[in-house]
Amino acid sequence: MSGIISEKGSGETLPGVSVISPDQQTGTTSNNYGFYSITLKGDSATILFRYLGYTDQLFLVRKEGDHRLNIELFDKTSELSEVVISAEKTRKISEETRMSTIEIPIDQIKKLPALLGEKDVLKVIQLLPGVQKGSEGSSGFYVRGGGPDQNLIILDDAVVYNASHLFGFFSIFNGDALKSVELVKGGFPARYGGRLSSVLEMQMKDGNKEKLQGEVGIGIISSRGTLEGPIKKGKSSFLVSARRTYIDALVYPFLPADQKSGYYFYDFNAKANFIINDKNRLYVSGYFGRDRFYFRPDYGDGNKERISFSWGNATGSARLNHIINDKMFSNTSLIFSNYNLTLRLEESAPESNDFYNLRYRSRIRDWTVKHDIDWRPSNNHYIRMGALVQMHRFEPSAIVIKSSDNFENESSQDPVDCVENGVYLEDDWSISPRLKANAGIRLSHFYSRGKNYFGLEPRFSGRFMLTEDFSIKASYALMNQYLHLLSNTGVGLPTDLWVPSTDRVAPQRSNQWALGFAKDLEKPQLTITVEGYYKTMDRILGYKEGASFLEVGEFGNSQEVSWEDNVTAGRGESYGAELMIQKKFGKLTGWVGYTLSWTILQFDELNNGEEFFARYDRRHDVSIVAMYEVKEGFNLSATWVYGTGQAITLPLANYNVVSNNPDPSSVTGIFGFPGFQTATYYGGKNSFRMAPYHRLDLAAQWTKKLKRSERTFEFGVYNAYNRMNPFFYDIEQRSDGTNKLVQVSLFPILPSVSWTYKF
Amino acid sequence: MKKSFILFLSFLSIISCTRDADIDVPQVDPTLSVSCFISPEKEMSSAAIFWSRPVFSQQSLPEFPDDLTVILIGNNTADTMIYDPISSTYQLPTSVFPIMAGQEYRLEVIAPNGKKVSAKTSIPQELPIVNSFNIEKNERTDQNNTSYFQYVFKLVLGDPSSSFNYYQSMFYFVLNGYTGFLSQSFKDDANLQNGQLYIETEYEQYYSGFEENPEFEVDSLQYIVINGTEEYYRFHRTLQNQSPGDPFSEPVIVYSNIENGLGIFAGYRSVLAKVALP
Repeated sequence: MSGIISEKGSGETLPGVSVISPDQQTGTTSNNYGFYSITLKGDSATILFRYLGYTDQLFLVRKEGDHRLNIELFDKTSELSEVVISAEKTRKISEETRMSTIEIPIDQIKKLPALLGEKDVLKVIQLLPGVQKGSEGSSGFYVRGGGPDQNLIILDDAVVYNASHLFGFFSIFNGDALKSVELVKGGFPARYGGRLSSVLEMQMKDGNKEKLQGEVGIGIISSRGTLEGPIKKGKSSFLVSARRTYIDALVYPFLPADQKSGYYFYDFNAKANFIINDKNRLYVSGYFGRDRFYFRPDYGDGNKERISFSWGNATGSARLNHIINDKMFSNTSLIFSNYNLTLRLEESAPESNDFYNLRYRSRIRDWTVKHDIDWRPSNNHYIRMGALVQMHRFEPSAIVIKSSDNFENESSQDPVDCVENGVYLEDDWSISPRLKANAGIRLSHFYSRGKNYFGLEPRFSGRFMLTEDFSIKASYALMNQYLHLLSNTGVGLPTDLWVPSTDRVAPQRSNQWALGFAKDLEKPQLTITVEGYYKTMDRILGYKEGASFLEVGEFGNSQEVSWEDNVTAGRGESYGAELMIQKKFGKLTGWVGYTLSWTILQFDELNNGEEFFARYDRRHDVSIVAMYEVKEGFNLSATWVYGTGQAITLPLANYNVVSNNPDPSSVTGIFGFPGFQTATYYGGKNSFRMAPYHRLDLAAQWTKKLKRSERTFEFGVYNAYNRMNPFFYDIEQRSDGTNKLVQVSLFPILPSVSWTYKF
Repeated sequence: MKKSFILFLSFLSIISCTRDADIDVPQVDPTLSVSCFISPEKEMSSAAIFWSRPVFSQQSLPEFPDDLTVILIGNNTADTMIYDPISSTYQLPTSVFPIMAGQEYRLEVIAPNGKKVSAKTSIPQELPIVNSFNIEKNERTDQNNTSYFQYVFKLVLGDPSSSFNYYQSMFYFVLNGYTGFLSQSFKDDANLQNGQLYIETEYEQYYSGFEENPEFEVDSLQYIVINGTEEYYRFHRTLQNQSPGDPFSEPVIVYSNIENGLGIFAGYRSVLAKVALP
């Protein structure tokens, strides 16, 4: 039997639906496009379709009948149908082969409290064990000791290079346009490659094929709207979703004339899908988003000054699903991704005809062709195979300067064109009812500046059922990463620079081992997972001490500084244990996560070659997430997080040193050493811990159902007990000559309100 | 670029609040910072020694101590370095205490309060080998249509031995018998190309006006090539990388080989030459 599983009423395809034959004790799940294939024995069999938040459906199928069964599942909130039977059991985490993988239901993202009411996928990801957040408010995340560049963030198959707005405080993902979110922290299947530490895969909604519907939301800093509906009823649909902040518009009239400045960001998502025939479907989707900061002062003297700073992503993908036969499914994708950053500075003095124009740009652009095949030769094997070709173009920095004193110059580091290829084969193999494994191999290749790199990447994960609802799991994954992000701010600035591996910069590589247990409890209905992991990372890249993005390609230096001269390679290791207790059903849902971890780095050219803790090393990380349905239409939610303070480098003493001056005839300075200077003693890189971070957020949601629509009002409080968490530390000299360590905090208690109307 | 980050910092300052940190800060005592370089090519072994200044402590000691006991220890021999108030350094002539290539040396510094720091180093066996030094002279015009001479100095070093070597090359202009520092370059044997190291630097000289004031015209160049120990090289590289003006750069941990203290004690060999400009 095979078919497509979708949602009743909207036609939205559903990934990850359990398809079980209870009488034949076999089962499978639907893939990302809702396709399933199950092999049944005998003349007849029952098939149960089960998905979280939807009611179960049970079918009796016969051998001589049609082997294609497209299913529509009912959202539990919609009317029940006669075919619905009550759920006996839920999908068991202990039975799943994969480990270190977490799906985040979109409705949970919408229920949880958020900074200024802005629902954010990445902020919810930060609440999971094994995932550390960056600095206060930042949407950047660190998985099992890996840097932010080691996360592969995919939206409808397209790689997103900079996932943040507003200097990292918000992510670019608009929850209204998303259908599914899945995070893989380890035990990576062979189909994923290109990053060391995690895969965050998001799919946009297809759009309602049956009726026109929409949603409008108004918040403190932004508003958003989504519209979806059929293009041709039952056959094709569209979805458009947009969001824009408006602080700039609200504040602008109150700014003094010589301080006219503003900031905004916007997102635009669009998707269309077409059922060409029973075997073919076409999806076309895109994302476009931009941040813009501008400064346009008017000093009243006729002189003009204009500064604008903008950055953004654009992605697009066209995907063709093809059902080859009842056991084979293929998807072919053509994907585009672009990230660019532009800074413009214009100054002019009309009276003197003086002007100065500067334009800075950095950019990365990808074109990808990808082909994947899912093959179910039998219920014991689920084989996936595929190949991709990815063309990258990097333009690390380009500066054009023109000025009235005939000074005109153009400085750009040559674009680097690279090709990244990958082929993979993996099998999810049911060896026995108790033993199941996912084994695979990926061959990756990267070409840059005449240099070829190859990587053979074995992957394995397996589970053994110790009892009916208790399993032991293990995994291993070798990953290669050919792209690197140069960052030393840690706050997710858009200037963080993506660069490729080159003949001088080798690819990063990691080995990760994980061992864990999974337990499903009936009463109370909980899932418990405990995982330990050990990960090594080689040839990871960082700025050299004293270097930063300000030096990269800075114009005016007669000996242009290449980013390759400013970086150094090192190694790292991370190990720890993660506990997650999750409750998915009932009035009270949520999870408790705890992570105990160590992340240690070593670079020959940093910290005098000695090991040091990564800035995002966290000994303890706790998150408690709770959602409670008080009554129909009234929900309360709360999150509490605690994390060991970040490891930072703090100056402890200043001291004088002199450099050697071997010139006997030079004019000698103080002490006879012209190289007299002051150095700073830090006691070791990242040897000081900031104060622990903790915070409580609360939210209450009231939803009122109207005849053909519903409206939701939300009141939230961020940082409810007004904890002053440190964003960074500074040293302040007091009038008595003493120095004092002062902490700069960003967000005190912040209430927020939002209103959503859905029709 | 810097303007945009000033704007970013301004943005942060609007939404942030500052207060004294409610956390214990690490307390460190003043410690001795030593800077001592020894070489057979030097007439005087000198050590500049200071007390460090803790950031969060009220404790302070004289920044330029003259009451220390400084002992230079060689192979079966030791001598005390004497404080010279003119240069504010501790000194010992190499005619009294010779510094020998290939030998190991130890430095001990004892303060009246009982604090003691020490370090050891060795003197590289071989002098740097200068295979060639060429000066290329080009006439150039800047954006204001002013002509000038561009001198390109090309230094090629040989590899003296199978051991791993660390080099510092320093260039000076010579004017009326005095020298002025132009630039320096740090390279080690990892940069070898076909068994040689290639070092290049530029000097630009505007020539208008020298007819009236020939005494201000640079007529020659001096270079010094140093074959230093690894600790010599690492100290200078990390010290050079300090860039306090860049708030976003990674803090530089300046290398030290002083036990219980800070700074550097390192040996080196050097060659010096003066070359007339073409």
